[in-house]
Amino acid sequence: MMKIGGKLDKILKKSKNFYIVLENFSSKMIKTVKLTKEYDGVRAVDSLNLEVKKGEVFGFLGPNGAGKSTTILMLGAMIEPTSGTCYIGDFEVTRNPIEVKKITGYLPERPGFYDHLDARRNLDYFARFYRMTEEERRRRIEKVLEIVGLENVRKKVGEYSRGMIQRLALAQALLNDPEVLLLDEPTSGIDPQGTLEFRRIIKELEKEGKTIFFSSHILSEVREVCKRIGIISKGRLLAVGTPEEIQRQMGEEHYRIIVEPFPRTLRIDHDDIIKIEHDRDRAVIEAKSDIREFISEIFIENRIRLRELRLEMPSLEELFMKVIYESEVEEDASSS
Amino acid sequence: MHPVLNVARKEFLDHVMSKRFLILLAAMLVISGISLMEGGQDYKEQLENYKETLSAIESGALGVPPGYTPSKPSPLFIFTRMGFQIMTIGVILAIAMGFDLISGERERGSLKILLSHPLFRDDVINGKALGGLLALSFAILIIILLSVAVLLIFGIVPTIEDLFRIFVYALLSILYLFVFFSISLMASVIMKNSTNALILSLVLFITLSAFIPMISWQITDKIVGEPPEPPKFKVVEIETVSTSSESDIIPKPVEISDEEMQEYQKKMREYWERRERVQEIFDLLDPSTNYQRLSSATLSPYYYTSSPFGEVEKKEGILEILWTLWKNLVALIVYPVVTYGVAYIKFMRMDVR
Repeated sequence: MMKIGGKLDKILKKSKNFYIVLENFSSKMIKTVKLTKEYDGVRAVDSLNLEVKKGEVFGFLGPNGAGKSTTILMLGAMIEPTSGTCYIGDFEVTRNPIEVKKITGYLPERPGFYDHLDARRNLDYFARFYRMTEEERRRRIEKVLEIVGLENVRKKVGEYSRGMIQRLALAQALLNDPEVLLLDEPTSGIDPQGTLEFRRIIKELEKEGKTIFFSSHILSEVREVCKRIGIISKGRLLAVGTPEEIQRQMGEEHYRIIVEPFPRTLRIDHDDIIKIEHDRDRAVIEAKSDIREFISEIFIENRIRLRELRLEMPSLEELFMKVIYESEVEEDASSS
Repeated sequence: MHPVLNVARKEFLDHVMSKRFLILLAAMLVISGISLMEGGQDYKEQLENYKETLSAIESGALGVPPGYTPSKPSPLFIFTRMGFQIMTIGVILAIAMGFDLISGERERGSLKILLSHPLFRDDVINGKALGGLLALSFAILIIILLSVAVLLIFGIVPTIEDLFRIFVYALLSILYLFVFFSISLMASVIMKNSTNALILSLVLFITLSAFIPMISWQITDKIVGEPPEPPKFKVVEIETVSTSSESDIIPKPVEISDEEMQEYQKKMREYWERRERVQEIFDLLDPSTNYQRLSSATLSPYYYTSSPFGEVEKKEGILEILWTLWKNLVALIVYPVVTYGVAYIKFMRMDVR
């Protein structure tokens, strides 16, 4: 009896482990492993490791030229990586490009269509690649046009505004009812009202359980719709997590210590101090590490009573601006 | 529907419904209509002349030996009238159809969207080439149908052999136009914008059809050198006694020996053969020369092979004629193979960012 019970226990334990592995695998909808892309010897994407869970809206943030679009093109099987691998659902992208394309929808940064055709005929052309019947195509096209609010527009695409083109681009990305949406700067160049409308649609798609990979160079935009963010610069992923986690990760190299009062006559020497800014009897010390203990010892030695000694984390905006500034400085240096 | 067929279907419809296609096709139809009417009239006159000659021979009025019959004019003659000017517009049509096929997609931003759907990259370029080929075939088919209609209007009923020759002529015309279509398709892949692609297509067209034939004679001269000098007449002065007090000196040429003449003829033959070989290479580089030779041979009842010193050979059957001109046919096929090959490889490696 004990023997049978032990075996059953083992089987149950094994199947439980298997279930956990299976759940863990299937819960990741996007995965990249050391994903790298080089153009003429220059690394546009450099050893990118990233995971996005099923049903998650993931913000991919970075300045222009950081490697966001290249990453999306590799995920969407439109270009091949130089090295590394990426997965969409259970498919390795390079080995199963058609399968990947069947379950993904892609919205490029500057979408374009066939100007001489109307929205329905443009969408019908793309829908035919999914081997839908005529009736299926007609129904799906009407549905996606309704989602993006273009159902009553009959004119040719050449007469569309930028915002309408962007909506149509989202409609074509939804044609196959994809599990994964790859949106490359989806709100760039559209008016504030259009942006709000776009956010509403994305939130609705999130409710439907779609996994959305949303790239942008605008932090507020990403913060508005994404729960997790990845920051990329010069092809390298700098940080990934919730906005708060990113603040902690990126802020570690950049400490701001507020000290009050801080007599101007007082001298503090520490290798990690970057600079000290005085503001009346207050000082803001920027340092490479948390040196609060060292500061308090100096104050005790000098018999100065501290009113305030606290660590101030830079905001996500400040950290992101720093990333952009550094990438611009580097770009200027390389161009000169 | 296979992705290649879906792309080809869209491209075909885009082409045949585009203004540029309809305008150029209309121009081709107008010119071919006029040429066909003139050709039909000429053919009728030739036929009348033929009948008159035949009855004159029968009555013995012309004094020709018995058994001689003049060759009957071919109804295909009327195609040769419309031939080349139509094809010049056809080339413009082919270039106009191809120059922005890929560059246009890139400029519009539709290429990335297209590639994001379930199809391979080569499905795009294969589909575009197939769609273009079908549209060019459609244009040629309309012109051929118009031509056959004109033949029937003039009461000329083509034979099975004639219809087969018309079919071969149509295939050659499609192939000729596809040469320039594939050149412009290649330009649209190589160049990042459509304006430059159009310029490159036109430059290649002018180079192949005008510049190479223009300079080929001079280059052949340089390669082959001067023709051999003919043997010089030896002049011997002969004094003759005149009736007056002065004597006249009359130069007398000495005849050239047979050996000298044979030697000269041999050198001259070798020179011309060398010259022909070099010139042939240039001719093969020019698609219009290849097309002209093939199409005129296809539409003529007989084809005569000849060279300055060679024997004239008469070829009759269409397959025999095409076999004789195999180099021209291969050259016409090689162009689209090479240019489409370049376009294909370049497109497969294209950076779509």
